[in-house]
Amino acid sequence: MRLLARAHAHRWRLVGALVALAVVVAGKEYYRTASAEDLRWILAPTAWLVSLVTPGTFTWEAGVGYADLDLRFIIAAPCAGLNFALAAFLALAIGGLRGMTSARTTATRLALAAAAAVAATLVVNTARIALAIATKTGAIPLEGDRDELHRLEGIVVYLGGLCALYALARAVDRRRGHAVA
Amino acid sequence: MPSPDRTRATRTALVPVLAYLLITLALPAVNGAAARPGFAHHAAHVLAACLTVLAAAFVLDLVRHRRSPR
Repeated sequence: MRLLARAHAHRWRLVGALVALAVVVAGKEYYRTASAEDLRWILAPTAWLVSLVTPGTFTWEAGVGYADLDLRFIIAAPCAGLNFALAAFLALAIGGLRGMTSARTTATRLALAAAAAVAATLVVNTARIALAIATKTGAIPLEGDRDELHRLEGIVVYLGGLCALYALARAVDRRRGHAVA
Repeated sequence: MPSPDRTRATRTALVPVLAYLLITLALPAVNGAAARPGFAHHAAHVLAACLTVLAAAFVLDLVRHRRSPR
């Protein structure tokens, strides 16, 4: 009886992992060809948050994204942070696999992972763009190739944000009594 | 049998690092991005950052283990 229950739980974990992977592959495909208009659902709140925490005022420019002409800075489709969102969703879904023991818990965990991934993307991507603006305007004096700096900022902020998000999710899960890794 | 807490930081770092590598390098490589100029350069930066995170987590585990009572 216990073996059957365990096999049942394993089946739902496998389903959860496969669904998470399918979402990631489909999301990557969507992001590859998405225009600024397609990504407005995430670019709009990002531009709003960036306008809050930086001196910039970003307004919608059709076909381009959100732009601040004074700062000469554009929040375009590649700045949407969807890669971070997908990585965060995947990491949180994998971290939540142990809690996926039925259809309901699997659906709940995947939905929570998606919601947390989008929320975290807005926060982390806003931080990344604010940092890029600060570097560009000289508020943070960094010497070197601008494109290279932008790339390094992206890697450090996204990877750091991803690790922090996962550690936070694990801590919350542990506190709630669910082992996640 | 080593306590699972001994490798907690490394295990915690491993999942997001692997997810990041899958999204930023593995899937683009499968889609043909590996042939693009600049991909190897970008991949080198990503790999270096990932290894740094894992090394930091490993060191953290080592320090915690040494400080913990035996």
